[in-house]
Amino acid sequence: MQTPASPDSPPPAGAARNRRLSGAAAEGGVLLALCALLYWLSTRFDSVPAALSQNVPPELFPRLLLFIIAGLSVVMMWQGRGIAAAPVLRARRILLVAAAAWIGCALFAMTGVVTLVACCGALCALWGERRLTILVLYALLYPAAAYVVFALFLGLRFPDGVWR
Amino acid sequence: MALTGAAAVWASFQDVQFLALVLAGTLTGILVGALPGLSSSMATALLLPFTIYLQPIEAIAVLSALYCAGTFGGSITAILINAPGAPPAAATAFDGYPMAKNGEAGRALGMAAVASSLGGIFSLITLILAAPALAKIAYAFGPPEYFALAVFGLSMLASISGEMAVKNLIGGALGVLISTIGVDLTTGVERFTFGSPHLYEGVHFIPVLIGLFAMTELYEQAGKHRPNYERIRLSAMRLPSREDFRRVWATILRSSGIGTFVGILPAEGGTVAAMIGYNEAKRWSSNKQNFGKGEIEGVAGPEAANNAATGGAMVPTLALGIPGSATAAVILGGLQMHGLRPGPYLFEEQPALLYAIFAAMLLANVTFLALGLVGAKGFSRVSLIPRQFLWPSVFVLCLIGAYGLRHSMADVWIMMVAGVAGVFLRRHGFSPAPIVMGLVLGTLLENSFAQSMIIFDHAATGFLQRPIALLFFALALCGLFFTPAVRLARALLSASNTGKRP
Amino acid sequence: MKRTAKSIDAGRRDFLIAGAGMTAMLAWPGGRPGAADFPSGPIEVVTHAGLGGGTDTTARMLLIRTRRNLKADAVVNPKTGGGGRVAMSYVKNRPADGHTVMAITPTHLFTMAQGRAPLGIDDIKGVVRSTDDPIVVMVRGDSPLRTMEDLVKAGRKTPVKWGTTQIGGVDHVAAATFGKEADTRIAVVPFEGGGEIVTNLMGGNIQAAGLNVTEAKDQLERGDFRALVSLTEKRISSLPDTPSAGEKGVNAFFSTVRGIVVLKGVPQERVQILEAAMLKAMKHKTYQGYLTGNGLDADSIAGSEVWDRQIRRMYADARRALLDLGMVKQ
Repeated sequence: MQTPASPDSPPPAGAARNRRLSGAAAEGGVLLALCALLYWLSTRFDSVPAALSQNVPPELFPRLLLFIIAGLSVVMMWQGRGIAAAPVLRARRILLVAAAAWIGCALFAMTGVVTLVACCGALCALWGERRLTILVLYALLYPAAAYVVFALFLGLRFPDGVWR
Repeated sequence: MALTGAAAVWASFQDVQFLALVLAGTLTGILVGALPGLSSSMATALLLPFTIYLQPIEAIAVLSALYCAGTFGGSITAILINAPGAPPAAATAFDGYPMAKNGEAGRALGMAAVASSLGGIFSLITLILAAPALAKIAYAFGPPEYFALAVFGLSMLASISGEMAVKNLIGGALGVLISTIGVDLTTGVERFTFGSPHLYEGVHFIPVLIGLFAMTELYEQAGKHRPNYERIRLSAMRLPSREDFRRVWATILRSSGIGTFVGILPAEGGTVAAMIGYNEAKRWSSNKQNFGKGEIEGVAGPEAANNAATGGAMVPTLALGIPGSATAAVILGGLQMHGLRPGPYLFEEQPALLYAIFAAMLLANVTFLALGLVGAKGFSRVSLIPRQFLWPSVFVLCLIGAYGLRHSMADVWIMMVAGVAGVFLRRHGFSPAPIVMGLVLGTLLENSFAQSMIIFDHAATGFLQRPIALLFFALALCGLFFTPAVRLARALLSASNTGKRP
Repeated sequence: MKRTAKSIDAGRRDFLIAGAGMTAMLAWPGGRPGAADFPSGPIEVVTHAGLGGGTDTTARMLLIRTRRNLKADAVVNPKTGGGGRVAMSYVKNRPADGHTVMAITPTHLFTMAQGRAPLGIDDIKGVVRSTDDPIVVMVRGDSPLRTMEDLVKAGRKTPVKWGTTQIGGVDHVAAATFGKEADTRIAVVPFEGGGEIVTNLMGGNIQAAGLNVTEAKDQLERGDFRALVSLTEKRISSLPDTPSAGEKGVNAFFSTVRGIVVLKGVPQERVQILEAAMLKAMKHKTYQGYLTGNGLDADSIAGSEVWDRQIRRMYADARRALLDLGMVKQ
């Protein structure tokens, strides 16, 4: 956690600090490419109605920001020159969890709150729970509790999806 | 006047039904505040049609109690799972969650309760003593002043130095860039929407925030190989010590002032107040390096400010009939529904109502302080929940939180994208806080600038004729040079000290 | 809180469907097709705005008594985004059986008129109007612009700075149409809401604004604001001394209206059942109290015929004005 070299605003916690601040060239390259893409998009905005043409043009502010970001990226690349790129992550479990989360969201849109049961179960298993009874109990009870609190007590409407 | 007022407040404390309603409002407020996806403005809105069956004074009392408690409640989830339960608690996550991770959840929660309560009470006293006079501030703030305020708020990003500085600036600029998505206020042109109606009204910062903070943390946790059961740290339930309070009293006082002031401004509410409260806590702190890593001042700063904003927001609401925040707008609707018309004369014609609101909000602040301190020990056990149950539960709360904001799946996808982006950003040393700050202040920055330019007949020199705006620009400039100056002074001092020593 | 919960409970909803269906059959014993079995489930009111806004609150106030009159459950379903586009595309894909109704505002009509909506004006049918809040041109009490003529004259010299809400919305189009019809120049300053316009008119950052009476009732009564002209054909009852655009010969009539519409395909009998139940609900003192508390009067509510005519005329006016402004998507 404690790296005296970075006194201000570090990520809240947990970042793998030893792999940080590296490959600035690659980071800067990605940012510059993003800026170029967004700049191109900003040339394709609709035209401003004649009566409002004196107002601050809609593309001015985004473009100003794109130039600022591009400029800062160059500074960053200069500052970070010569520092090696970060090693590739061991990310198999992150990928599995991310896949479960994304599929869970897609199913949530289609089937609403029922999905959460499967999602809780899958994530709980991915986190290493092996006792089946406890896993099933958790996967049933937690979404049920969430449904009671949010939908019944607080009046939130979950997506209807295929149920209507 | 003061005596009759005190008597009126005391009398309302003895009314059992009044007390019960305020307590119910406070409890509901803490609950909806703590749950992501439900905020006090939504809860008051849902409750509004039913208050028609209550006496006007009771109706407004229950709504205002809910408002105060809801603002506090947001801090609980912000601290425990990195997903703020309500928008104003966004800045509380910056340091509250790291504290919880360091095993100091109870300390952070206790501090949030105390700071919130003190901030809230400070603003209430201001409200009762000086509302009609302070309400005039609302009229003094036009687009040029808001622009200067936004510049001041963002100036903190630039005053950060060190090797992270450039990445923080890039993050802030990215945040402002995201805020330009959607229809442009002054020209009506759609920007970066790809024709999607879901992006037309812009990207709300809450899904982005939940994604960048809570979802990113979830992925990070998934990548770690640790035993499922961690040793229970008893320190997690410890409340803040007397030493802590000695350290933060100045921060609480400063943030209470900031929060009350920003709350009075009609266009801004607790969220901006908390951001500025956090920035100023950091600017004036002697532990600047510790911010973002679990600094208790970083919890006290935004929490005192966002609760002070509740009392502040009631100033223009009651004295001018202009809502000071989204929730205050609903409360205003409630007043009108009961045939009460806020305005300068309310204070003379309806003192009973005013004292009842004061009593209800005061009671709410005291109640959530008690509940918060007692509950902190219980709540802080959340950080002791086994990981295989905690993180799936956090995911469900993230999902519902993003969805519930506008009942929109689009917001869920924004949250998911932000979560993945957050992993990469964090890997490469970009911290999420500047992005969120840019996003929150970006809309204000651009819109107020564009409005100012129309008001000034498209000549930027118009800003020079606005004293309040100039004051904020000057403060922003001071802020830019304050940190380097202090650092330089300290460096010189330590250099001369070491020079003297053999 | 608990009362709202009632309307959401899916299980109980099914129960209510059955219950309401049976009651409905008893209440309207057959005869005309389409009416006998209606409503056979909960009524869903689709709104375009978040909770707590004017549209949401109005819909909820309306539903309090409508539930009772229809003997069916009714829920508000917020579909936010795209200036009503998300709500409209949702409604478009629901069956036209009268169980899905949409709460609309000028925003929907103007989005349609801009050619960006999934529904056209001919796809909808008005059921009831729930509020009608005309736009009134106001200046600050101490403004040198004492009459509409002063304002028009001033604008011919330098454009009058006029506060509105979003570009392409009813306030903006009202300002632009007023400028065109009165042959004067207006510089539109858009804000995010009516409260901000009031603050800025009071603070002197703008010279004039088209505000709803309800937004500035207090300021008008205290003399902080002066009403120059109401953008209506005849004078409005709450401002008997303020001339109307109609009598000044300025052809700019705009009002912030809210009301309920259904898809065109909904059988007429069902529209009538909804209309009757909602009108009765709005005449009840609960809703009337809400109206008067907000500074509106009983004239606000209207039945299907008046409301349907009004939205069509408003659409036509909006279409013409937006074409003029070059804001119609081809």
